[in-house]
Amino acid sequence: MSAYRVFRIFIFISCLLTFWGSNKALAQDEGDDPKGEITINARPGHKNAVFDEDGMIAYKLKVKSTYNVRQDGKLTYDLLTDDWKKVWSGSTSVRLGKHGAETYSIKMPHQKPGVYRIHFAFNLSYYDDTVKRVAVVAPERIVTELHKPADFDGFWAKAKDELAKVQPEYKVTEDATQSTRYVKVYKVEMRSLDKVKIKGWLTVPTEGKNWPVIYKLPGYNIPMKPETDKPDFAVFAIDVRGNGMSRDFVAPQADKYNVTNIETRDRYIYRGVYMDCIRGLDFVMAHANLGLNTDKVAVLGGSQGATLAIVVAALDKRVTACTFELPLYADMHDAYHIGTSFPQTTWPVNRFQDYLKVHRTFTEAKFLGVWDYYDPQNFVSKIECPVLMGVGLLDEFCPPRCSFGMYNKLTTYQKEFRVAPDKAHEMNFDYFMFQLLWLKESLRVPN
Amino acid sequence: MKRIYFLNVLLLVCTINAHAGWPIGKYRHVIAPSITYYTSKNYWDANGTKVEAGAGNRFSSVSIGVTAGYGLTRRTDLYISLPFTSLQNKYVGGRQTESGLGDATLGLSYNIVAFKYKRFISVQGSVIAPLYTVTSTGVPLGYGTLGAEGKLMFSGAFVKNSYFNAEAGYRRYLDDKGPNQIVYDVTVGTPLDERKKNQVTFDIGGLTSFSSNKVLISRNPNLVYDGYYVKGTASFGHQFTNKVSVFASGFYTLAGRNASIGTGGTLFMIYKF
Repeated sequence: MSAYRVFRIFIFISCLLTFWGSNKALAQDEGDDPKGEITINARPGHKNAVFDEDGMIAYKLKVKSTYNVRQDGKLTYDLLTDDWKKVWSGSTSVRLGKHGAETYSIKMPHQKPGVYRIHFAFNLSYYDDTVKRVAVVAPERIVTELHKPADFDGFWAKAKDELAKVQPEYKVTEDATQSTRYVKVYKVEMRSLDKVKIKGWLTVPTEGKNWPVIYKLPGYNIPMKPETDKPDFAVFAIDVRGNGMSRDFVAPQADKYNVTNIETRDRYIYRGVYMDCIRGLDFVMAHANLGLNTDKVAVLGGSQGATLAIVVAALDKRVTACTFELPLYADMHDAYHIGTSFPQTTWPVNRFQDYLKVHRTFTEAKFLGVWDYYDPQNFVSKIECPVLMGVGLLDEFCPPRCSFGMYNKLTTYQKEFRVAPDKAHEMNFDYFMFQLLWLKESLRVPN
Repeated sequence: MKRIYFLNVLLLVCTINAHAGWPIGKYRHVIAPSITYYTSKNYWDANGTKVEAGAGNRFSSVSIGVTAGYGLTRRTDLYISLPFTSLQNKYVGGRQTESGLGDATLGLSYNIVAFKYKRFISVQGSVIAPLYTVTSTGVPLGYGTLGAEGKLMFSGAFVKNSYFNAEAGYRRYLDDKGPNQIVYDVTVGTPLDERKKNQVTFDIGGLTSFSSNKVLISRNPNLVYDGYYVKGTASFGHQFTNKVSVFASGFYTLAGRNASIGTGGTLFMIYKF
């Protein structure tokens, strides 16, 4: 055996021993890692994380450790725009005692009106985590660009004319299996644009008469159900075409719903959907005989339902009040841009992107050109009734900037918004309690 | 959506008590007509000792009143209350009667805090104006002097579906003999059915009155100058529609000093629109 060969065997055995030893050490390290949890409570300095244009963006971070060792490290805080551009950054050292608790007051320089992401990153001896929050500065001064086609009004006037020519053929059937002592439940059918049959649920309290109406519009692929728990209102919940019960004629795949016929402005599914919502209002207005007060009709919806509520309130002056939360599709231009700025493109923009990838001739510009006819932002200036909007600041589907930009284009005499700072695509209990009171106020329902 | 039912009941009970902390709501109105019968015979003296009145002595009154409220803003309500009272004081060898408008009350309440729209803290300020004159020989319909009252109220959800209202205030009559009074009241109520159409409430309340007039027990035993009383009330209410409810209650004075021992009942309706 040559010396060289002995040397190679020695090196091999040494490497093997080193590798085995290091693995053993690593395993030992992992086994010896202290166990525990760190809770971080990030509270905005201003209520609901809504800050003034002139003030600092302040947060208070309460950090509590259950580790039985001291931890040292750094807290880094980054301020980013809602499309992920870093605006400002800062850091501070962290020393967290055994089972210790510390509070860190973070102040970031004032910013121009807009929506900002704030990332609080903890890098400690045995713990790494990033807490993400969103703050909004001067929401009522957020300005977004309007992309409204010149023939926008004519486009929708024509659609309404077409709808008016369709006989509604209303059919109202009481559903005795769902009616209760206190609420009558009716299944409702009617014809809408292109004679498509759509359906919905009407609930009317049995005591009293002349009930103010909540007209509820559906979220994306959310089947409607009878609303039997609103004792002060009649509720009409409509399934627009392709949704819930209304899939006899139009039944797209759930994930392809909003790209159905998207390449043709006049055949895009939402043209029919928007008209379905108007037809639903026609139904309400034609059925005072069922105990409905047709002088007091509020439209209500969340997400896609928000867009539909906006469209109905804008296109039909018979609406008394309009409340919506998390308006999907608002300001599609900015929403598209913000959606694609995430590390992973967010819904619904990713669905549109998927479509564009497959249909190469249908470009982003063409897509936005079609959407300009459907963007709720282009409808809001026509709303003349009171409006209440809800925004979840962590919402990735409906960027808050777009919601506020649209809100600021409302010209109605009464409008207000509420913010849920810790909610994504949902609102909190407070909002819905307030919304109920707001509906009662708007429709003059006794408390 | 059980919270909605809760809200309705909460609003109902707060409306019953015109001074409760829950706002009526902007643009909304409440009208609550009522009729109350009260009778008393015995009384507590200056030491708080029960004194039995002799046979043939009895005081009774029937009051018809209306309280109206209007929601000026989401937090501010305007209240007005007008009573008409008929009194009768029977004693051995005779009787005295008196009828007429009593003390009108005009008040403003303001909701300071709404805790998740489940519990509310409000303040209320009222002026009390006598719509009668006190004669030296008649049975007085009230203290007969202008008054003012400030009150703090805390209302809202209690345990499960039950609810509460707690309030305390200070009332000052603008006379050199007062009286000046501390008023307080605690109400707890609970629905009896799932839909909360029927409910019962229990209430303990009263007043402690201070006056330089240390010994007077008025010919109207409702009026306490230097003394106190504590009253217990039980009520049953039924909601006919979301606009109309009717309540019946019975009450009894539980303790007191320089105050009459009385019992009675009230029937009142709440109409909201």
